[in-house]
Amino acid sequence: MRKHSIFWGIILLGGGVLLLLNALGIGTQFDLVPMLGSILLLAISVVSLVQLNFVMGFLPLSVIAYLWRDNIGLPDKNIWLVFVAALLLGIGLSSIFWKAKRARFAGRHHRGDKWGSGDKCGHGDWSSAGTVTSSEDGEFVDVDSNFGEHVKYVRSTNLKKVKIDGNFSSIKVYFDQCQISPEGATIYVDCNFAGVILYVPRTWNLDNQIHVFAGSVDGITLSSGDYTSVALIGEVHFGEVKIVYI
Amino acid sequence: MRVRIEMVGEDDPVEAVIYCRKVTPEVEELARQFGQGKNAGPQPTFYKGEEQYYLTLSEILFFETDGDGVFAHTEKDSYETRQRLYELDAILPHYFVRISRSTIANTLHIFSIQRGLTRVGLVSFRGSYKEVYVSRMYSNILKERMEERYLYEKT
Repeated sequence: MRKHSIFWGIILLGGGVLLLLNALGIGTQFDLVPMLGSILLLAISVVSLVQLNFVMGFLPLSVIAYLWRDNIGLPDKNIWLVFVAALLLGIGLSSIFWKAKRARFAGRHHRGDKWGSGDKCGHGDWSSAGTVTSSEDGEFVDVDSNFGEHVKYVRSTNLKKVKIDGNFSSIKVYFDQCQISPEGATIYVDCNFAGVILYVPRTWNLDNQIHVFAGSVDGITLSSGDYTSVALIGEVHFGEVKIVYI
Repeated sequence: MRVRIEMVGEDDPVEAVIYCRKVTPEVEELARQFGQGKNAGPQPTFYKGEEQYYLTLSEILFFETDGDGVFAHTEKDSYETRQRLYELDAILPHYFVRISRSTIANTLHIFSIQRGLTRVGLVSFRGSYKEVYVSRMYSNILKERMEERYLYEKT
């Protein structure tokens, strides 16, 4: 079992235990449930911040503030402001530090490729979408969308890497006119509060390695035969990645 | 085919209207000869690599800008065109309409328009899995053209 799975397994178990304690009325007089809940949320926050996922880093902190609103003197009517502030902080920092996150991703999965220092369009706007296709054969494709809808028809004669970054948006990416590199290809999806639909040829054999939290990756079917292998990696938080074979 | 010529007054615009049951390549050619394109001009050329393809405009679902190129999409394929999108906008027949800064769609192939929360609509085409978005700015003109098509098809 992967380390990541164990961590989230413990988090979910902790959540289950908390709900059970709450249902049984145990520990309510000592603030046991809010305390354990805060620890779990803090763990989620720390892990997310370490991964430079700022939205998921700040949202749990705002929930902690809600749990302890009486102790810290936060009026009930201001709690939505705290949530919105956490969301904006997360999005703002994501926009500022996208390069660092990309460099980290490039180092982890694609040593020496263009993403570590490549240009990027459409970032930092309130509502933006853009794509970048690098190299003559379209080896590297980058799709970004924040607060909007975006459709991308990928054309490549030697596709190696695709990065799809969606925040609060709907993205459709068509791979029907792509030829995969003989070395194989990797699709990285970073999906936060977004819906991503990937239209892929039936001859692709997708290897799903996406880490999912409060979301889903649907539609992948196991291909038999000697099909082209494509790794599907990345993270989904409060979003959905759907695969449609064409 | 019956040909009818009507005289108009000094102040009235001179126009040619073609009544047909279906937009065939012959009708397109006739329209081109009459200068039915918003401005008569050269027809789009289609390429894939170094190979040139000869498509009829009625086969095209939509044109879209992608990076430095403009691509014409058919049901299952796409071809590069050498014209810029604004040039195409000027020469394409009336049933093509600009639906976003990067897309011109063929209203004859539009199957559905799905409205989104942000008033940006998702356009799907008959017999194809391809979809494009219509932006807020162009949604009214698309609606008008779709109504025109509906009226046109009823006659």
